[in-house]
Amino acid sequence: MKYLQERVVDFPQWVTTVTFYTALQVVEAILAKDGLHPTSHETRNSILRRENRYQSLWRFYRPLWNDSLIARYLTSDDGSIYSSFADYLPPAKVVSIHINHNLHQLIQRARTVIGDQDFLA
Amino acid sequence: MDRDLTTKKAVAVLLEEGSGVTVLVDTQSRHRFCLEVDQVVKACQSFQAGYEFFQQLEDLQDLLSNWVLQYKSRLNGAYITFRSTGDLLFVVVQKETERDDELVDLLTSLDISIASDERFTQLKVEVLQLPKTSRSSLDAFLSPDRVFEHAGYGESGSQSKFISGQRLTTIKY
Repeated sequence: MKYLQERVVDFPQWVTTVTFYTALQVVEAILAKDGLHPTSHETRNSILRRENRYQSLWRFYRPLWNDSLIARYLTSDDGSIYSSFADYLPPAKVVSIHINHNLHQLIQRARTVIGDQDFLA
Repeated sequence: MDRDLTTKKAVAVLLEEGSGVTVLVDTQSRHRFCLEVDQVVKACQSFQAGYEFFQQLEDLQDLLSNWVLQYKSRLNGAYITFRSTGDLLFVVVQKETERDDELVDLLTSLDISIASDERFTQLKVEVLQLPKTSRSSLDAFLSPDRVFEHAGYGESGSQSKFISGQRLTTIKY
């Protein structure tokens, strides 16, 4: 995470994307412990939002999923309404919202879900 | 329903699955369908699932329209589109370019409430929040010809319009 934060000013969109995929690995670890092995984002997302057990994870995972889509697929437009990802989410907010809040909270909730406070310690 | 020839009243005909009975259906347009009863069962199940799907889709449109109206001061547009997987995607475009953090929370709560709602058992719905952007950039997230629009962009692409109080309606590109 320290390395990510050092690069966020230059690459907020890629730091957001990597943070999302870090979160995905956390979620995959939890689901695998429960014997679930979804093979697509859609299936994984559906499990997280529908199952009570995982909804506390989904609250912090969904914003990461959402913003990683913007980071990867929303192109700048000719009208200059949106010129870059930083227009949407400045580097400082990538750190405060996605790394320090969403990813941190996701890991905390993951520990609670599996009942292991040393998980990913 | 069949007709009891003595009383001329409609009566139900019981056709049991697996009985091997052949059913001949004669429509008013003179099209005839000759089906094994097991095929009839599948056709009925398919019709029921399709009926429920469109009923649930209508209910979802009502729910999302109300949600959009409730938060329209934050929105520049809202769309329902079908993804290649057949899932539905509810796309919300913010009023501003900078991330609306409260809208993120509102949309996550909406997402969970739809997933937990027994009225929408046939539907898989994703939600997506986008910054204010041009229509051409937005199109990357929408499936052409398979979009319902609630509030969208004016002809110039820069002015927004709002179809207040109306259900999401089909738009053409």
